[in-house]
This record gives sequence, C-alpha cells and structure tokens, in this order.
Amino acid sequence: MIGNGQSAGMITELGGFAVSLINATGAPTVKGYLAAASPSVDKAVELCQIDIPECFGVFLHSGVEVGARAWVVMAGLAEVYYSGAVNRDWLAASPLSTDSVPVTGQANAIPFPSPPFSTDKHFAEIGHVLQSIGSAGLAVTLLHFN
Amino acid sequence: MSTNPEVITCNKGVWNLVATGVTAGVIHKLDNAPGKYLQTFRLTGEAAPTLKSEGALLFGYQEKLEVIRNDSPIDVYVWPINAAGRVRVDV
Repeated sequence: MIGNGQSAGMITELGGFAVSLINATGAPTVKGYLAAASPSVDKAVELCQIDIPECFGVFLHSGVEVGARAWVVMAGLAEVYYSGAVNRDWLAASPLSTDSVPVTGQANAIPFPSPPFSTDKHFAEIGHVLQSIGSAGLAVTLLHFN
Repeated sequence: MSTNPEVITCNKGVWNLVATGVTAGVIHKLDNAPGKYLQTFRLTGEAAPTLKSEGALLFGYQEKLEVIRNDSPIDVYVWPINAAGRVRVDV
C-alpha cells in the first residue's frame, strides 16, 4: 500500500458511513458531538450551534486536533452524545434553546416530531453546502435528505 | 476519473515520479531487473523526496502490484535499486 490507506469516505465498525472533513470547531473533537458546515473554512465542520438546526453528522473520534481531518458519521449507525436521558423510539435532534438542557454540539431527543421539524423548508432540505463558489456551478455538498 | 494505463521507465538509484495528484490506483511491476523497488510519496504540491532512506519496499514477496490509496491527492515516487526498471500505473 502506498499512502495512508484511507479514502474520503468509509464504513465504520458500527455500520455508519463517515466522511473525512477538517475540524474547525476551535477545539479537539469529542466523540458523538454534532457537526455542521463551517461558515469560514471550506470542507470543514464546526459544532452544531443552539437554534441553528443544520447538523449533518457526528464525530467518530475524540481528540482530533483543530485543522486536522476528522471522521464525521453522516448516515447509518453512530454513537451520539446527548445532553440528557433519552428513550428508544424518540426523535434525535440538534440543540434548541427550548430544550431542558441545551448544549452546543450535544444532541437532544424528543418523543415525537413537532415544529420546526414539520415545516415545509425542513422537508425541502437536500444537504449542506461545504464549499463556497462565486457563481453558478458545482460545489461540494453533503447530501442529507429529509 | 480514470485514465489509460501508463508504462513508466524508472532510472536506477533515484526517485522517479510515477503518478501525480492521485488518491487511488495500482502500480504493476513490469521488470524484475532492479531486484527490488522502493516507494514513497508526497502530498501533491510539496517538494520531491531526495533521500533513499525514507523508501519503503514496493511489491512484497512475489507480489507484482501495489495499491495506492490516500485521503488527499499525493505524488508517488519509485526507486529501482539494482538496475533501471519499468512499472505500469493505473489511476
């Protein structure tokens, strides 16, 4: 083998699909924390902010330094870090200020979908833009269908 | 995007650039004259290697091909040890 043997995507041991993106969270990664597209760095992620529901994946490992590539699980199975107790069959969600314990980068869970999850814009979503472009054309996008 | 295979003659005792900007591919051994080949790589855009000592053995025992795989584009270099050699690169 020549190279590090890795590709930009892989299937995790748990059965998730992970992509490799740059850690732009400002701190080493924490396993299970929620990732969202970075507003300032191409092909990079920040922690999912409270009341900004654009999470598309969770960090696979802890301890990946800022600026290094981290695996982000964005489909299939993954271990997610929740800010409180959860039950099977609940809907996993990114943090909202109306949660009992909203924490940046940590997930919440609720018994059943309700607004804003049931709004039209949510169901129109096809993904998250990861690369800036100056005019019409191709840009790297993480697909995420609701 | 794939391309047709490329046969590359590699000079003895120096690092020969055999692939540029690749993330996946295969190198086949076409000539046994060198006895052994070494390999190394650089992230694309960085300076070429100069030292033989960083080379790792290319093609294991009775192996005639080697896989290239990296999560970002790399330039691949080959060093034939005892004589000039030839490889085929499929990317």
